[in-house]
Amino acid sequence: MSNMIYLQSSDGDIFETDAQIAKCSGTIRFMLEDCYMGEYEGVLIPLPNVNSAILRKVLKWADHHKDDPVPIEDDGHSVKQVSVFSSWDAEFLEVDQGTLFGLVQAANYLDIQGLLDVTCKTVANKISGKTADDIRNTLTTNQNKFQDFI
Amino acid sequence: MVSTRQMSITTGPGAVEDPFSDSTNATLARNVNAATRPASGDIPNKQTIYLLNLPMEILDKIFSYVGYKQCAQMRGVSQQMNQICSGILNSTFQKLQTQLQNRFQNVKKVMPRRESARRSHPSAGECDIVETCHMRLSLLQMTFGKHIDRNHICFFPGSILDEVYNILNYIRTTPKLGRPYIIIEELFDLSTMAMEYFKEHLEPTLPEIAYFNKDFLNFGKHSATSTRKVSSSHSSLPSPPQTNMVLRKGIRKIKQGMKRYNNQLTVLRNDLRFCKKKSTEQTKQLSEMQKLLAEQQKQTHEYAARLDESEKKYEEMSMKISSLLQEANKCKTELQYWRSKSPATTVSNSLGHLVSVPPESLEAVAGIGIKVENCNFEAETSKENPVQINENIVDLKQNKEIDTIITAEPATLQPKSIPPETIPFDGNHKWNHNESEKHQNDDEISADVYCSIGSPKIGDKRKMDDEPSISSPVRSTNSNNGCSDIKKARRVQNKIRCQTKVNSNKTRSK
Repeated sequence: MSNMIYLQSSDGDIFETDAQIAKCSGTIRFMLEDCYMGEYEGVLIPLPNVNSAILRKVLKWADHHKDDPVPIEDDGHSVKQVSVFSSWDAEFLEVDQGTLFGLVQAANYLDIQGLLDVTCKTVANKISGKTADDIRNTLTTNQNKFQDFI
Repeated sequence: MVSTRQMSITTGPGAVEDPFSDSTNATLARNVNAATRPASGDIPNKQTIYLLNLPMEILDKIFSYVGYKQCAQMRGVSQQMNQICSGILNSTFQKLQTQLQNRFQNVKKVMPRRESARRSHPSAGECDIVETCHMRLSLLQMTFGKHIDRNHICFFPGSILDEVYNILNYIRTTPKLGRPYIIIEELFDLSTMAMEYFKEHLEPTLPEIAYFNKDFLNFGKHSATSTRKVSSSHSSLPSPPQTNMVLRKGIRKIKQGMKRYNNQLTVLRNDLRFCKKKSTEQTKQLSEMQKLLAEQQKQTHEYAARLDESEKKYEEMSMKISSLLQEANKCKTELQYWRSKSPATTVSNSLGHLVSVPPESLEAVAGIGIKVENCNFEAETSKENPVQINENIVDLKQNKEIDTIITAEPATLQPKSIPPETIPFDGNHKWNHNESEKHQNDDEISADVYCSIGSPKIGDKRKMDDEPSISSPVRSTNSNNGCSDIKKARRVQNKIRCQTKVNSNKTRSK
């Protein structure tokens, strides 16, 4: 038996999803368990920091990784290597820069550790091996360049 | 596979849509221009997010995947990126220092004390590697630390951080460690190169740091690093002579500062003692004042009690006085009533008959020489005060008698009995008993006036009968035939009687 809940994006769009999938997000999980005391059938959860497109992508990623084990917390004693991730993830994250950073922000806000790792690694892959000029041209704004010029 | 389902409600902001369908243009009907929305791949970003818009912790996470060497290189991208990357490098350097220090202490606890036993210990390699890493980081801290603390530079050799993390990973993942010097060789080279580069290229351009300036004397965040510097200088490899000189200068300055502080401390101690003495004296004075205050309060309480008692007594006395006054008033009214009703208003004439004196008779009295004005005046006032009128009448009588005595010639002083009709009164006045009865109810004043001219009151009627010659002064002057001494004596007797009457009236009124 599946409990359906509704997620409202910052644009006002409402997404119906299974609670088990939504529980990939630590924020939604704590909200359901603490605020609704386990009885969350049909509840509407507003997510004002996530727009519809990003929320759709996040739910898609969560649906794909709903059976993944819980990631182990990093102890911080080791350097993090840019590891290779699955082809589905690589294909999923083949998006433009704005969407990628939006996914990073949404993963951080919704507390989805797996998605945050994957997106951060993707950004790191894009940065690594590039010179300062390349990074300046690709990842930063014109405003930053102007400030640097000044 | 997909557990969510599509709800194609197209009625506004509450539209529910399938998150995984690519054809969102058809399902998204929240806005009017929903059809113009791009596909899921092209997300309409109102505010395009850039790398530097991400939060600091996310950037830290991203750069940790990138590597600190790359992070150090990225400092040249922009000023904002320089600030972010510098912060990341500095914080990682500090974090690694503390991490390695703790790890070295933990390993050292496990190791035996004997040097020979240490060599054969299984964790000897780990101990050597960690110790070397800790030592190299301490050296780097000594070299860069003071400038990093003052934000002159950041920890620019990011590759050293990467190497340290690599070594730690190697220790963690490798069960049997190889020769330590081979593992540490890269770190040794990198750190040496970094220090040399700093001394050759960077340090001359940096501002000279004055030891023990205001920042140093703050004993704040820099104190920990400076102490760490001193301690590491003793334990680490022999440092160049320049640093020794600097340290000696620093020690000298510290000693001077200590002397200054000691002097200030002694002054402060003296002040503290003085303040303590003052405080004890003031506490004593306070206690004395409190005692005095308590005594005064007791006295005020006693006085208040006495005042209350006296007030009570005063009230009682005032009550008694008021009751007495009321009784006196009652007596007075009764007395007036009885006087008005009593036959005292009637007087007796020279023959012993009771007569009443009309007010017109006062004119006749005036003809004899009595001051009528005074009589009238006294008569008017005597209505209110009958006692006083008696006194005044007595005075009038005395005056008249004296006048008559003085004016009387010796030839006329014969012992003749003149009847009362010969008194030069007006003929209208008939001095008989009937007339006196008519005027029985006259005022008391008229009776008193009569009394004053010779006729005593009813109380003295019997005496008047016995001595009729003294009822009238006019008569007494006519009947005076040289026996003035006897008359005088009688007059005195009359006076005394009148006075006794007056006194008795006074006592009654009181």
